[in-house]
Amino acid sequence: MRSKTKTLTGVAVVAALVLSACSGQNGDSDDAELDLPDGYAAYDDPSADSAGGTLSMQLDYDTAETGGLDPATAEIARSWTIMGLVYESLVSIGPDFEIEPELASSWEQPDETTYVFDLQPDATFSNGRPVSADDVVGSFERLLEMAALWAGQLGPIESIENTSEGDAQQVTITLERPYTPLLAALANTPAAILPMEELEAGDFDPAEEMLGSGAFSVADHRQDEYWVFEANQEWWNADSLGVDELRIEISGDDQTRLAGLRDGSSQFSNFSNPDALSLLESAQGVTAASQTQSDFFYLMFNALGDSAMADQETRQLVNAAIDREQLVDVALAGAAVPTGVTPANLPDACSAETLQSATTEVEAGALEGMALSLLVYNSDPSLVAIGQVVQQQLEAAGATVELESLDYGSYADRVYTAQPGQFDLALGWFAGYADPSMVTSWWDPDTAIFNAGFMESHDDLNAAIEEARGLEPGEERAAALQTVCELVDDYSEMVPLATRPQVVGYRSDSLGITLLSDEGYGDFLRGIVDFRMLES
Amino acid sequence: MTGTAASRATAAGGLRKLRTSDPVFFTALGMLTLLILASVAGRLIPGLNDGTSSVGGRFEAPSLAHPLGTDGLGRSLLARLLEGIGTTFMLSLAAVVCTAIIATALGIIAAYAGGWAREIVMRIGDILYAFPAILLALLIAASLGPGGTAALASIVLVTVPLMTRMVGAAAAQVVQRDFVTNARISGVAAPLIMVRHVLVNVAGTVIVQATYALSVAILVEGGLSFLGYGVQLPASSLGLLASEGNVYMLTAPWILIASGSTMVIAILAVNLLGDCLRDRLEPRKAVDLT
Repeated sequence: MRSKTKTLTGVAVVAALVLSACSGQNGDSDDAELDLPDGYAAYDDPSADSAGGTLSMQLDYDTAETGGLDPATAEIARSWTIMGLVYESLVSIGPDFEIEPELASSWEQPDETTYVFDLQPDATFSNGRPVSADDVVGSFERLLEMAALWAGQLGPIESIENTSEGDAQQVTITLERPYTPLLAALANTPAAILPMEELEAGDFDPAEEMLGSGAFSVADHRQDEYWVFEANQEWWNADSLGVDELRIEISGDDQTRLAGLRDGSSQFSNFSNPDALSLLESAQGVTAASQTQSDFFYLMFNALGDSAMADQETRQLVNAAIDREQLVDVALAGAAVPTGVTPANLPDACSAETLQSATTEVEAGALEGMALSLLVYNSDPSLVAIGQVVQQQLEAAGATVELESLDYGSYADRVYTAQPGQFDLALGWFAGYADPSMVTSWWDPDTAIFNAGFMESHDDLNAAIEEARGLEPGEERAAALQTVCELVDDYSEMVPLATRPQVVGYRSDSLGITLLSDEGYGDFLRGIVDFRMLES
Repeated sequence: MTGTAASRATAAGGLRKLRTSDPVFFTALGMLTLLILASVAGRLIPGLNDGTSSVGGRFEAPSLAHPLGTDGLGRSLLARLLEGIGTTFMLSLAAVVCTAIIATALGIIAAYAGGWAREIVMRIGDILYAFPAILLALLIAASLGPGGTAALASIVLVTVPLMTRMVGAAAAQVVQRDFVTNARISGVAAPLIMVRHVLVNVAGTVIVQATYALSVAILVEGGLSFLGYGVQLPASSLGLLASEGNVYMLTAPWILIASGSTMVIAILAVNLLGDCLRDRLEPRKAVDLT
């Protein structure tokens, strides 16, 4: 009897120890969350001292190799994030999608088509040469002349001029007509300011190397393996930087990155898998934070192919057969919301619930006899999960769906390169940006040439997109954007599904981070200049 | 007695002995039969073949409703596991049949022709054999792109060298025997000798090596799918389930436990079966280490 009591007591003690060990971090996290200022998912006082040193992080994938290192032609969010460590744009995005100064210390808008930017007086490229207004003018002219994809987001620019007087560097952008998303478009990395003097002299090739005025400069890089960045001592705010060296290891496997955080070999990682939040709950010394994105998943229909998807009514039926609420609950762990073309978390966004696809009931067997291919790329686990749920929903409606999980290169060949595309349905995701009328541009294949292989250009939709971009935020713009959403739903060539969650995990015992609660460009490293290394 | 008749008698005697006196053989055979029947049942019986998301909530622990719990998409893990067993076995068996055909042909031809032909076949086999199996499989899968075809090709290339060597060694002994020499002197065509006299006499070795190749195949499929190069979602395989289970090891351990233990049972059963067959069909290779 005594022995049994001893045993039970031992078991209880061990159980209590295990439970207390497991719950410790949660308590810390909850306390930390209570102190967060508005607009932040994680916050560390940027004025506090940093121990400095090397920050090791693991990210799920690298910049797009095919695009080289030129920010002007960068088309994927990860390229923007990585290149954004080296390059600066005139403005940046702050809490609640507010536009904040970056390379421009201030700006004013004397009338609705003129923007005047004053540059940071101490702004300097990492080679020591001060940034000039000519670099800004040259960078934008280059971007527009290259007809890069992002040029389509800059709107109806009439002129970009150097209006400097004396030492103060100033640039004036004049538009042909009002264009509300200009500042949000300037905030992204493709609109970064390049050292045009060196570029024009042939001393600098932006496709092969990076030379910017940002907080870091590149020390070493091997594509799809690692990056090493050093603090740029020439950066205009270098004294406040809390990290001396940044090592980024590319590791596509979720489990590897989770293990890296758990054992401390990595201090920061990102996850598109929303379950990462719960997976890191019990990890000692690790804090996980979820960032709400305006980025969203969407479904492409090959309207130009020879399959059933060439028929608009069939596309509408397939669109309506997708239960977005179930998709969010099952594939995205409830960490997202259904959305229309205008991201649900941006002001003036349209209501996804009122769209025809959401209100139409599709009976079982409505898609009977339809055989479809559904393409996803396997580097994004959320995309594969969504693909499986969409497959099941369409099969419940009677269709036969073959889900093909491909590497990104094969996927891009069949979806974006082939003319017409070689698929019936395909899943992808867009960055949602900071202004709801920006992402709508990608529904015009004349601007978004990557879509030309599977969707048509529609005059009424293009006109509605253009109209919304010229309106100030408010009821009138919300109504115009609702029209855009309804037309997109009606054509059903590329339909939004749900917002895309993002989770970051970090070693809170050795690192303090600043992370905005809302992000529109997939840039979870936007706050890195405020990261702080803690004394171990 | 001719070589052919002697071989048949030996193989038949060995198998007859298995039927009557080897509990290990029956246990292994039982386990394998159970796994195969379960995977067939999983495809045919309503309820077990229902892998839709609406079956249960996400990551539900094992219960009466879902004996093995549910996965990240709320699907019954039992249904996914049964489908996975079928996929893994079908893929592995297909690969082993390919391996057996290629390796047997190469081994017999090399042994019969001898000289340079034998050297070339064996040295190529040595080169392939020098690569760690999973590294070789990864190289092939990376070249072909992820998927079932890549897994099948990888398994074949990983298992062919060893089986070729074993069959070649057995065939080399056979071709030196009198009945083969007699057949050659009598003017029997070489292909006929290789089939009628050599193949029949190395059949035991082929069967034994095929069972070992099957366990390697299950392991390679598991490894490749675990690393994302093998079977792709939405299909299911033991390696793919283990990969998912690995991520959710701390929050939903039943996924890894179910897929991992099934793989262990499958490989153990195949290896035990192989050992029993070796003891009976190749008695000279059965070494009692005790």
